[in-house]
Amino acid sequence: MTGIDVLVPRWQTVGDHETRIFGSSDNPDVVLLNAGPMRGWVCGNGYVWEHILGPLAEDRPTIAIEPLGHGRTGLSSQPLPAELSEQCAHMISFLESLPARPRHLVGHDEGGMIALQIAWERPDLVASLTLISPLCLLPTGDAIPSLALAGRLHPPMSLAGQRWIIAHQCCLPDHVGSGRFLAEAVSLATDLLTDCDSAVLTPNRALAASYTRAKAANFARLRDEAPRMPLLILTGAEDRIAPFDNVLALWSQVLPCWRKARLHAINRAGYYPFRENPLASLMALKAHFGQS
Amino acid sequence: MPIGAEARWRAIAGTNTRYFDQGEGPVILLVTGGHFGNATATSPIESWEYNFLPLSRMFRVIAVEKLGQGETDNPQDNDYTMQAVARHLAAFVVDLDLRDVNLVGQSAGCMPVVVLARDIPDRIRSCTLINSSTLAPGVGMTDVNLAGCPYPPFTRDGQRWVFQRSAFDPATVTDSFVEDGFRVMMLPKYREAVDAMQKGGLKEALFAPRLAQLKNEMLTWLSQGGLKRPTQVVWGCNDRTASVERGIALFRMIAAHEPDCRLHLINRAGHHPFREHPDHFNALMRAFIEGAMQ
Repeated sequence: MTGIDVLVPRWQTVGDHETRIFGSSDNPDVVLLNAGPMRGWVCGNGYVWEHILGPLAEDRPTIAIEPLGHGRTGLSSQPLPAELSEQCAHMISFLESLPARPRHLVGHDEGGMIALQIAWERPDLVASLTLISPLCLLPTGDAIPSLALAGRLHPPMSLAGQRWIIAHQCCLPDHVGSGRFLAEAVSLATDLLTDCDSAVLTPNRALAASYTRAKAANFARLRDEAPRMPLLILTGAEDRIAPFDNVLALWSQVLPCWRKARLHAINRAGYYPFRENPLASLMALKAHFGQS
Repeated sequence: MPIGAEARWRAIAGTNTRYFDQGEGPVILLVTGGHFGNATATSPIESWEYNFLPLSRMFRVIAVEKLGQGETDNPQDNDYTMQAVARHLAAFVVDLDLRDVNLVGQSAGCMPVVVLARDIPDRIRSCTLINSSTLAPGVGMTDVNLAGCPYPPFTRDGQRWVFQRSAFDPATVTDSFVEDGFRVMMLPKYREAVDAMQKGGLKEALFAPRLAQLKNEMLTWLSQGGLKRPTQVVWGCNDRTASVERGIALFRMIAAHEPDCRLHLINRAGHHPFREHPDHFNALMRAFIEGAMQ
């Protein structure tokens, strides 16, 4: 399977939602979950995985699925989700539609939050968990004092605006214009402006609030227990969005109870380590899957 | 057969050196920890017993006993210094004409690894640095952690106590591993080194001050960006002697200059993460070496 093949999307009805999937396997070992537009930054979409999906699929069956409200999944079934639990239910329905066995779930930021909730609720569906740049799970005190995204270009959903945001989320911005991720983010923004309530392009406050509640619940729960499957936290060491120090703070919360937990930091990489340094990310993921 | 391979011997500048060499492909050189003259415990080559053969299925893996460690001769002319250890190891690499070497050091083995990366960079392809209080910046806690051994020197019980204090899970310390360490401790030449270091006062008069000098030198070199090779820092998070904060500090020091640098932390692992999580460590090594050789 080549990188080009896996980037041809297909559609599957999951519950009431048309769901976009990249990769042809109907019995994948690995399921990638991208981040979404919850914070009003980038219109996250499945093409974000374009530099590693093909190489991963050569190693073991791999798909990328856009969670409900991320990318184009669920766009035709308004309203978009207001609760993390809706996204989790959608993803569980999808996993249950596959032959019954656990999968390696890999989530970027909000995609990781969804994967973690599934790991708690349905551990039978999860062989291992990978959280990449898990901003939405990080201890932040009151807030992360980062100016990385201050002074954004306007309009933020234009090509220049989306490019500016992605570039400032990264340590190495060389990848920003390569592939289809940026173009799809802009296309998605355009479609949203045309077809939907423009409110979806502003931070989704209700959804964000549900993530905050879930984060607190995770901290409390991790004091006494942890899911049993192996965990990998993959992070860019120079991430200004999900800073390395905050990732280490999350790591310190994970350590007491999560028996098989590993952290892998990649130098000269920011919020998209798997785009900024695909090779190092692939190595870490393959080593993780191989032992899970 | 220790670690599943026949021992080989080579005279390196007059020093009989024992090593194990198996497999084909890119070269991995495993460098064990341990200092001269420890009367309580040794760091035997069998530390790598769960890694050597699995990795040798894909790579040429060489595990060498450092100067004065295992069955390798003690230093000549009482040169009980880490500088001598590093010179011996560099001479070993040159003598075997090893090229594109992927160095793997643990604990005290990390210091000569970075010295080699500085002194013979044309032969070095990558570095893996594992749980090293000797190299990492910050306050070393080895003496604190290993103080108060309830058993006499030169005993199996003492060796076991040290291994168990160094592990996350004491149950991972096997009888055979204890025996491997004890066997080295019983070698006459090892006793000679203990006498020289302990009774002869070389530890305080020579080894420790020269090690401090070398550590200063190497940390300065690292912080100024001297290490220009792909590097992974691998750390067991439950190490009492080399805390995880020091591993993170070492990573940051190297990562400030070397783009291809990674940090890999392993939960529920002590001073020998490659023993407590061998399958994971071997998979990590395979992936790292494959990348480093591209």
